[in-house]
Amino acid sequence: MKDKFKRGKWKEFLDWAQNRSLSMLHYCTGCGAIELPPTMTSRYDMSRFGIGPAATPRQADLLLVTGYLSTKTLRRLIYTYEQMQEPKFVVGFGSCTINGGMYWDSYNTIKQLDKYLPVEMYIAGCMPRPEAILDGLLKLKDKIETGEAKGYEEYKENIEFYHKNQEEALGEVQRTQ
Amino acid sequence: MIEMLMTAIKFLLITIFSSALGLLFMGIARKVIARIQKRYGPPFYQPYLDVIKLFGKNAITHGFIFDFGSIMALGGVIATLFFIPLGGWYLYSMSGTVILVIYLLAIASLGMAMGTVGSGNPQASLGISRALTQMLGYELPFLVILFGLIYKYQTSSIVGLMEAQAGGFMNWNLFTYPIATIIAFIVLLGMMGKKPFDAMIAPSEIGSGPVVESGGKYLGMMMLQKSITIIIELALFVNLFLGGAENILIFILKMLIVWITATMIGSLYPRFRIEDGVLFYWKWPLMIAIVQVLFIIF
Amino acid sequence: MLTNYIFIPIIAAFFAYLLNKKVKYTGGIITSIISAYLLYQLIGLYGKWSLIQTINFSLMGNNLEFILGNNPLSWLFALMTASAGLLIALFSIKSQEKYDLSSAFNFNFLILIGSIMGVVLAGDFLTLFIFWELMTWTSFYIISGGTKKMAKKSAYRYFILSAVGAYTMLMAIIIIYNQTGSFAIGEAAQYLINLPTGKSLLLMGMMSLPFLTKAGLFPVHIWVKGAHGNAPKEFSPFLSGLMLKVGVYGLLLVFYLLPFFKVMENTISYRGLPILSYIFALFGAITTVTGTILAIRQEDMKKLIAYSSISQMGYILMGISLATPLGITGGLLHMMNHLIFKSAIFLTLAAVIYRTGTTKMYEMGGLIFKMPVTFATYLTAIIALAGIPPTNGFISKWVIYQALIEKGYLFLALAAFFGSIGSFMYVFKPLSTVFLGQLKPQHEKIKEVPFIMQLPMYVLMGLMVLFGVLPGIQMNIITKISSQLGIESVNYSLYTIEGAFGSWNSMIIFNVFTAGFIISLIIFMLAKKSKLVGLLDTYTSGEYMNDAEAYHYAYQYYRPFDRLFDNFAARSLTRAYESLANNLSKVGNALRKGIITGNGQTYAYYTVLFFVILAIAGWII
Repeated sequence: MKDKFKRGKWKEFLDWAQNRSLSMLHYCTGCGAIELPPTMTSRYDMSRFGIGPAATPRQADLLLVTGYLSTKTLRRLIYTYEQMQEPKFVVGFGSCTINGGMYWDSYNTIKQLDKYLPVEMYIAGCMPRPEAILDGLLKLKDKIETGEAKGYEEYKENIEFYHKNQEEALGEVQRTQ
Repeated sequence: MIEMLMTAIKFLLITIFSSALGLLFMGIARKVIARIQKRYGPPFYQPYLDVIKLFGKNAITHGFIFDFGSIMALGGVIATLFFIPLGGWYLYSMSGTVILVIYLLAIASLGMAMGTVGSGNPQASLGISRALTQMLGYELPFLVILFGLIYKYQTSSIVGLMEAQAGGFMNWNLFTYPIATIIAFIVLLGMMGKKPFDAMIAPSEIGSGPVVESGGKYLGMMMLQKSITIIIELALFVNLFLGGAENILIFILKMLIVWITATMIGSLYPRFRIEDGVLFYWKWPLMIAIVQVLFIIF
Repeated sequence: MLTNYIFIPIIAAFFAYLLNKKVKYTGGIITSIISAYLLYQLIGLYGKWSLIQTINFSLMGNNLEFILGNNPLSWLFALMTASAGLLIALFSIKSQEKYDLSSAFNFNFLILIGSIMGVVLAGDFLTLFIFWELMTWTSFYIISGGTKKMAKKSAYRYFILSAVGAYTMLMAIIIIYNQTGSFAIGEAAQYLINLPTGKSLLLMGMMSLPFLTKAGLFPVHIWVKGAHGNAPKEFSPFLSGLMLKVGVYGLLLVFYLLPFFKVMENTISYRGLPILSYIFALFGAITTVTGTILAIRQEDMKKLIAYSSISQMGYILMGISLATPLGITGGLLHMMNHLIFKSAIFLTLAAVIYRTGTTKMYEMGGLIFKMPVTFATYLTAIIALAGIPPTNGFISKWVIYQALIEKGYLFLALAAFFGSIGSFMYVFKPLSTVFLGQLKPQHEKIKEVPFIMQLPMYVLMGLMVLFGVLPGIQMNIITKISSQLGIESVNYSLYTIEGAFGSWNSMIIFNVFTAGFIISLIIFMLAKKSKLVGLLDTYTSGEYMNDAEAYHYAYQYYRPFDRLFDNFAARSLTRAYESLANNLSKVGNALRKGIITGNGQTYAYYTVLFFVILAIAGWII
């Protein structure tokens, strides 16, 4: 399983280190964010897996999109995602990122995050409990270690697809310079 | 030529050793804080993994001054390292090193300040202005105590001050001048940026302060700089007040005790505002230090 | 011929004025040539320590004797004057092309250089006084030619304070002349030693007042901010670098060549230092602390560096009033080093003003991209000012610390530490607000300053590093001055200095610093190359940033620290002096109104009174 995705020895070593030390930028958009403080603090301690908080997108590896995204927030989210540096991973949190969740017929939210950003892992639930979050993140760690998590490269390769979807939803999008 | 090569190898070895030890101390601190908060923490080798990951990440730069500042920060700290005796090893025992060390640490701060302000983010400038203000706060009591020590022992080299405390552990400055040691310990908390004096880092207030735009290798170099700074400050404290050590293992043990005490105290408090922090340092610690040094002089 | 040094610049001043009225750049060129010539002649004068030249002058039956002499102290100051004049003149050739009063500037500047030479080469008090007054007059004219609104008023204040001090000195000189019949310094020294202590101290105190004023020390430091801030931009380096030091020359003259400190030794002493010289050192300490605190609050970059000059002069005063070998060495070293790095900072600021036209720091930003040489000079100069190895500022500060710790003067050392650590704060402010950050749109078209203006900056940068690594070059002349002043000197070699508790080896520092830097560079290079992004793309919590103005943190940079000292800074010494002047002028007005009433009857009354007095005195009737 380890050599299923082709990469060099050095990249394998870096992925081994990467999955044991993830800095998480939790982009608290919606009501899902309320499950994060219990996960990070003493009871369901997240830091024992090496996952810690990051203050700014420049320092972060993991973008945790917690909940529904209105178009206003999506604009900022894309700007933040483009400010992060590779390797970077996006985790969709809650059912709103999968198929719109509770707001499936709203005019203002987006229904499927995967059309706008490459999502590695979804954590289903409304909202998922901390144990579910930890389960999802552990599976993400396995994915990173085997080198399967290549969302950022897919974003670069299919950038016209993503940009077209973003502009369709938002109108005009300002890019980083 | 052989001598230069030997010196270069010694430099490299000391750098790698201190950096590794510093990162280990950082991991132990995170574990201690976690246990105080009644949880498991990250494994104690976590900072090594963090540094390796950071050097493998891409980064952005905002121009030449951003790079130059980071290099100068790490370079200044490494240069300071060579003047501190670690256990039984010291490279240069020239006199006057105590004041020299304090000023060389200033190169590191200046380098980091210049580099991070060059990123163009106002939060970095805010963090740096707070850091510099705080430096004025904690340096004053520390220099007053150093003044007293240099005057008492009539030498200003760290090795000299270390050897003046030889001969049994009742000779340590901890027991001859206990008040000075306590004040120096409070200053140590400020120097290392532990709570309650960490308003300059302040992750939720100003977006982690100076390192707001650093990612990838810049953040890795900042972590290395932080680890070596921890070792320098702890070694300075142990040499000046706990009598140093001839054996490297006993030295590491003493540093570990001081570090764990500082971490435990630091994990309890909230943050001071900057002017409150500076005023705190200038009120009781400064006055007590002045009284103590007046006793030494007269 | 020592008179050459004085009269050649004065005569050349007239030529410079006339030529500059015709062709624009010639004034500066003539000034540079004259300064270079003086410098060249001075180098040949090294070693001729007993060269004395006497000019006898007969005026209305009285025989006046003017003495000029060359000794190590005078030689050092003359050298500093000539080199500073050369660098400033080179800089001002190009930077004054839009300045209307450039002819008057060069005229006054050349006379100023000549008169400073006269002051430092003087062997008797009359020469000293004449050229001192000439120096004050010409610098008054130069400062009042500044382009700012407050230029004339600040020049006026400077002149009044200098005049008060100078006339006090004149009183003391004339009293001594009455008793000894000659103006020479040596004879005055002989006379003053034999006088009872109280009278002698009073006379010498009166003589030291103008020098205290000129050096900008507490409590007569109030002219410094206005004069530096409002003077023409090329004159501020000279004012801060050199003219404050002429005050120190005078203080050294009074303290050591006249036996001020020797006489004080008979009074009570505190830990080995006479209490009166401790008071001078205390003035120095108060100056340091005041200058630092007020510098941190400034928004105008020239005023900030002006306050910084005051606090560094406090260091020098602390050093020289300690009367120990290390004290004198530290004070003199700091004086030479301060000339170099303060001139460099002010030249940098002058270059920025030349290109942008403003001195407020919050109106600028991001100039590092457009003016890299200026930035590099400023960076080196603030590393020297903050006293960081391997530049020369650290060495002089280290020696002063050794001098203070050796004798155990705790409060002076506390003030010195405060000044040193506070200087990190205020020098970082222009760096971060003027050079770093985002470039404002109105400054898009700025270029680097022309080469003739960069040349002094390169020279000063080189000197700072050179003297930092090899302080032995400076120590050569300083030990000679030390022995001239009657204090024994400090041991030294080309790159070591021996202090009280150990020695300083600058080669080791330099090597270690280079090694650390190289290791860090290797670590940096081994990692991946990073991507360059613009300065408008930073972390702003996802918002879009289009306006550079809103994201440059420059105004009230140290607001938390300033809040601590708001009460202190509100009590301004300037207002105290102004209210004193106002009250005196009210008294004068009342007297005038009382006597000259414009009323015919009062005048008739005066006439009758006059005749009555004459009658009583018996001269009529």
